[in-house]
Amino acid sequence: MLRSIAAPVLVLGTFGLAAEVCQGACQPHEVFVPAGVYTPFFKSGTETRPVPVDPICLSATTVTHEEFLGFVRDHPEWQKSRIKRLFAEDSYLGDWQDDLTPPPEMISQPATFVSWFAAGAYCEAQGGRLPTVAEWERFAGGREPANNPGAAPFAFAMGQAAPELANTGLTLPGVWEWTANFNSTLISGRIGTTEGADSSQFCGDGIRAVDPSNYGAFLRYSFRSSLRANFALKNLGFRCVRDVP
Amino acid sequence: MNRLKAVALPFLAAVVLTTDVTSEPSERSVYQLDSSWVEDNGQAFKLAALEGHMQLLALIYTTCEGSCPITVKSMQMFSRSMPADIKGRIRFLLVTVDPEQDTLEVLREYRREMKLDRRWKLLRGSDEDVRELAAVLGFNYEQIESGQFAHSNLVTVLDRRGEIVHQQNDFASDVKPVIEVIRRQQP
Repeated sequence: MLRSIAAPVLVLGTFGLAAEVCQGACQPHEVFVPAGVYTPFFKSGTETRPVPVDPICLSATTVTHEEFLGFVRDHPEWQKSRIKRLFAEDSYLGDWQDDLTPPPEMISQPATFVSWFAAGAYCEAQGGRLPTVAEWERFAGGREPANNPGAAPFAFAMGQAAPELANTGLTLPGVWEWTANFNSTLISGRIGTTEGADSSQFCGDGIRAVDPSNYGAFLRYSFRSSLRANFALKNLGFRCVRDVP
Repeated sequence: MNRLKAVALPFLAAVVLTTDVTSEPSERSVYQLDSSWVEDNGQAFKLAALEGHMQLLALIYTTCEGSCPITVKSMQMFSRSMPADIKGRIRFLLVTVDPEQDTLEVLREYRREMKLDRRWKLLRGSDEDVRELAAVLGFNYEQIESGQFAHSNLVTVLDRRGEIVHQQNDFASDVKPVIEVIRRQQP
C-alpha cells in the first residue's frame, strides 16, 4: 500500500516550490522541510523501497550547552547528579563542572555527552521530538563534495545539508546526532561478538547498500547501530523537529 | 569501582533480603520506563508490575518467519526442562514489535497455538514505547518488505528488580549461561 502512494510522490520527490510558502508554518529558528521521499541506505531484501516523509519544522542548529542548561534548570531530574543510570551512563554531561555549569568556553557550542533519553526529553519539553533516521538523512545526508580540501576529516559523515536546503540557515556543526529510531539498523545484528566478526558483517552489508560508494552513510549507519539509549558521548549531540502544525 | 564492589558484596548479600521490598526502584531498572502496555487478555500493564520475579524477555512478532519461532520454542523447551533447583524462579515475557499486526486477538491466538501457560506474559504497546524498550535493551529492528522485520536475535534476563543481568543471541544453541545467571540470583 505504501508503494502505491510512494510512486507518484517520487516523481515530485525533490523539494518543491511549496517550501517558501510553508516556511511561515515554522518558527524563525526553524527550517521548513517539505514532504518528500527518502530512499533507505540499505535495500529491503533485494529491492529499494522509497519511504514517504512528512513535512517538518527542523531546528536549524543542534541544541547548545546554553539551551540545555535552560532545560536542566527547569527539569532537575535531568541534571547530571540526579539522572538515573538507566537513562544516561556515567559520562552524561561529562564536560559540565556541576549540575548547572556547562563549560563556559563552549556555551554556544553543541551540547554533547547527552543520552537518547535526555535528548528526547529536551525535545518533548519544547513541543518537538527527535527526527527519525529517514527525516535526518533526508535533510543532512547530502553527499560530500568530491574534492573538498578544507573539510575536516569525517565531518562529511556527520552531515551535509541536502542541496535544496542550502541557504536556509541549516547548520551541521560536525557532531553526530541522535535520531528517534537510531536502533532500527542492523549492521551486525549481534552483541558481544568479536571485532573480527563485526567487520565481516560490515563488509557484507556493502552488498545490501543502495549506493555502496556512499562512505559517509556507511559511517553514520554503523555508528547508529552501535549506540545504546543511555550512551553519552563526546561527539554526539542532537536537534529537534516538530510536525508541521 | 571493582574494589568497592568486592567490599560491598558480603554486606549486600546480608542486606538484600531486608531492603529488597521497600527500596526505591534500582537506578538501572528497566521498570523505570513509564510506558503503558496491554496484556493479551486486555489488562492494562506497567513494567513495574513485573517486579519480584526474574524474567526471560524476548521481542518478537507473531508472523515472523525467521528466528522468532525458534527463540520462542527454545524458551519453551527451557521452561519445561529447567533444572529442579531453579524451577519456578523465572517468568517469560514476549513483547511484540509489530503492534499493528499483532492485535490482542492475534496475541491470544498465538498463546493458544504455542500453548503458553500462565507463566508467560504477552505484551502489546505503542510503536514509541516498543522503540524505547528496544533502545534500552539494545535490540535493533526495522520493518522491511511484506510485513517482515529485520531484527536482533536477542534474549534478555531481568533480575527481580528489572535490571538487565544477562543478554545473549542464539538462545537456542546454549541455555547454560541463563541457568547460571538464575542460580547466581537470590532465590
